[in-house]
Amino acid sequence: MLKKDKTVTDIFNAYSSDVLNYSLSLLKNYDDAKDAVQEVFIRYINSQNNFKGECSYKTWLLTITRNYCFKILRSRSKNSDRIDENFRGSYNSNIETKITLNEILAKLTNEEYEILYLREFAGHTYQEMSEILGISLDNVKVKLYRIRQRLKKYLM
Amino acid sequence: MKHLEYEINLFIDGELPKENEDELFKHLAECVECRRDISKLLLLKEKSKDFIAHEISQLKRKEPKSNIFYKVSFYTGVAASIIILILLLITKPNISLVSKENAVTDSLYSRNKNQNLQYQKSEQRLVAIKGTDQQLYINYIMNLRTEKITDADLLKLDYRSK
Repeated sequence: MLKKDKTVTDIFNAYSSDVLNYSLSLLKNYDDAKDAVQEVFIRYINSQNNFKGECSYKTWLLTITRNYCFKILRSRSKNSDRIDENFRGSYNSNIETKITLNEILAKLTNEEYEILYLREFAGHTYQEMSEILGISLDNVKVKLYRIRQRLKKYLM
Repeated sequence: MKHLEYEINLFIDGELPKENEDELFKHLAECVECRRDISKLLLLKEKSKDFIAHEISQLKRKEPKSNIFYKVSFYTGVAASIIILILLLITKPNISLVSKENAVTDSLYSRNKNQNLQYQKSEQRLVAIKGTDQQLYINYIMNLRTEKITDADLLKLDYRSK
């Protein structure tokens, strides 16, 4: 029992900041992100026996984080007027106006932003991204490629 | 010439299989556009990372809801302190100036000043005390000081005897 508690502490110390940053990137709210960290580790403690070692602890934690954050986002969208919860904003690439890269980055969909976060900020491998996002490895490669091709046009 | 944009994307992330690297390098040696593409993508990676890092740091800087309690407490305390200070400044204490000769430092004497105690003259009292038990107290006082016995001392004596 003592060994188990120590392992949870070690994992918390090692990955709580990653969980917090990921939650922040999804929920865009500091309080909600802190609540998410607590909830994620509670869920981790309750489901430790279910972990079969198919992926790393970090990946598993981030998968739990993602599932919890999307649950929060779904409950938010029920209370808001937004039609599509994945819709952060829209832009029309056919309109010839001077748009900066940061403006485009601010208008990415949640899915696109999440992919960029996992790759560029958190530095996950494609395999880890595939496990966290719950999509195939090829799907990760294609999505990331398409996002970059679209963003490349707005580089000065 | 076919450009290897997809392979370049994998390469900059370190995800291109080793067996495909030779083909890519060979192509890069001949294709200026693909070499520019690598530079653009590396710049894009850096800018994307900076953007996300900035957004996350901004979100962390926003004060959490729980600090509102401490803010309210702090400002309430400040307001209360200011009110107390104002009240102290506008209320004047009762200070009566006395001459040096009449100044009495004995607290017991000051408290009973307004009471209806009739003090006999010090000299008469001292004569009355002489030879009694209270004389011992008077002697004790005389040993401690060089000034003469005051009314305050006699008042103390009255209290002691009660």
